[in-house]
Amino acid sequence: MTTSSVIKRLTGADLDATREFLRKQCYVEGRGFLSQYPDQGRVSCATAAICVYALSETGPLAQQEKDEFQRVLLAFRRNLTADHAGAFPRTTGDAGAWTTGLTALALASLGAPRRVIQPSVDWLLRTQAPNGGWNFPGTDAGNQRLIYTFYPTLILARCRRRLGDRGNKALARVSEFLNSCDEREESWWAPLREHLRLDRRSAEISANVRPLVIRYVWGALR
Amino acid sequence: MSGLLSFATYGELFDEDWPTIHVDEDWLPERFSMVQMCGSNYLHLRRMVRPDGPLALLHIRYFADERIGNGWNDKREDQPKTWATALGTLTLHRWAHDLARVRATLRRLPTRAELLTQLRSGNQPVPNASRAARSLLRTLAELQPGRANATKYQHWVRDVFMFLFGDVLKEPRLESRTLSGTLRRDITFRNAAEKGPWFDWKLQYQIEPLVIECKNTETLMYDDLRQTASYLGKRMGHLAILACRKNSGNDVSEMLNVLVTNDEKYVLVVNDDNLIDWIRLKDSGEDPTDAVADLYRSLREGVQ
Repeated sequence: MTTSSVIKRLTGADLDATREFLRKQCYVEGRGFLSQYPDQGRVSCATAAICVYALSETGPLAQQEKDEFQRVLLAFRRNLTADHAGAFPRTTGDAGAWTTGLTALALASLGAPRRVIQPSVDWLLRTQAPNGGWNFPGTDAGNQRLIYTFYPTLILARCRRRLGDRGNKALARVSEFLNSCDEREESWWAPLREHLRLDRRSAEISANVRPLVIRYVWGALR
Repeated sequence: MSGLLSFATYGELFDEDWPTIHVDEDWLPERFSMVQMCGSNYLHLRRMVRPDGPLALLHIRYFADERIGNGWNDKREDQPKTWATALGTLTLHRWAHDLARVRATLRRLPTRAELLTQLRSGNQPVPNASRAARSLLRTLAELQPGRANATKYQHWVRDVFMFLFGDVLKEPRLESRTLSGTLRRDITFRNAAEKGPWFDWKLQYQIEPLVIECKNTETLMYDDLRQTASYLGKRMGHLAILACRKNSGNDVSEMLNVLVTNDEKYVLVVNDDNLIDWIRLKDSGEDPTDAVADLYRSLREGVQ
């Protein structure tokens, strides 16, 4: 049985139809995905990123479509000032960690090359607060929240191999943040907290195992 | 371990309603508010819980119950939202892959009430089945499919519906004849509901008398459905239940959809698996009406 038919049988939801809904009714060609409803005229980078990510992870996209989505996402990117190079705003306001992390993930899922994603990852590394979290856009230190730490952590964990020590240190600070953030005792946030803990642990294991694998392969070759 | 403990308290959030959380940032000049849907939290949980476990399935149940056409909305408005639909699509897709990965087979998605019961019973000793429930389950186990046991099966179905819905379905009658006397309906109940889904169906489909047809066979035939549908109309209303032993295939689903589309006749097919689940659900103190409503909704939405 296909994924779609299992979902249809058990939940009644037709995934092919939901994908079509996103593509046909929520997408404005060359601009992005509408931020809330199909009949609302405003596109947003954050919504475009989650839609692109979902479409690219749940079914095939033609190369032409991938290229179009990549162009649309990159059009939101801030490139003018050195401070914000590589960052993405939620709509048109300040650049934010949430949208930047999410858009970098969407670009990665489209298969965008490393040089395209790297400026965003660098921006996230630069803007991580000393306590390991990320602020809401436009605010100063002290406003770090678990929710804004989520996507930055995911993209850093995904890029950890090529980030090396920089990535490992950033992820270690995320671990500290998880133990100190305001949401650490709230039940609602338990799945997100544990998800980030798991990603952090996977990154740690991967960092430790990789040199062993290289040594093993090198030994075998010799 | 701390993760497991926090999941236990997280699961309790589902007790009253589908949990949501609003992230309000009021120090900003332009107030920012974001709602988080519970369903997509499965994406966080999926590497820590089994996809066919009650906590995972509660999230999936949310997407089954809260769907609006081809999408979802975090605030129960009447049209889907773009981002919520993207998250719903992603979540269900990942979940279906997770099911395949662990080779889990789900006959159906349990109702919210069933899942909450399972979740609670994970922390508490499971109560023994009552005598009535045990007796019904034992009788079914001994009942072989086939014409020879048709009457026994008919009696068993009557007893099950009395056990499950005895507070709203009254005065069961076996083999009641049609006006002309040519046809005999296996079981009829008087629908005495004064509120809830049974009451709604009574008004909507005129099922003051509810017809239940019993087929002690493993394969449903076209004629079985046609016969059940033939009882429906002005006098007996537009909704009936057809009890059979095994799951129906795609042909039957198509036929059921045709009956709804062409004649506005709803035939809810229930099998051994459904009825066993419902008996256990009722026995644990929950109301299986939700499960019937679920079946009805699947049929109604299947033709949309």
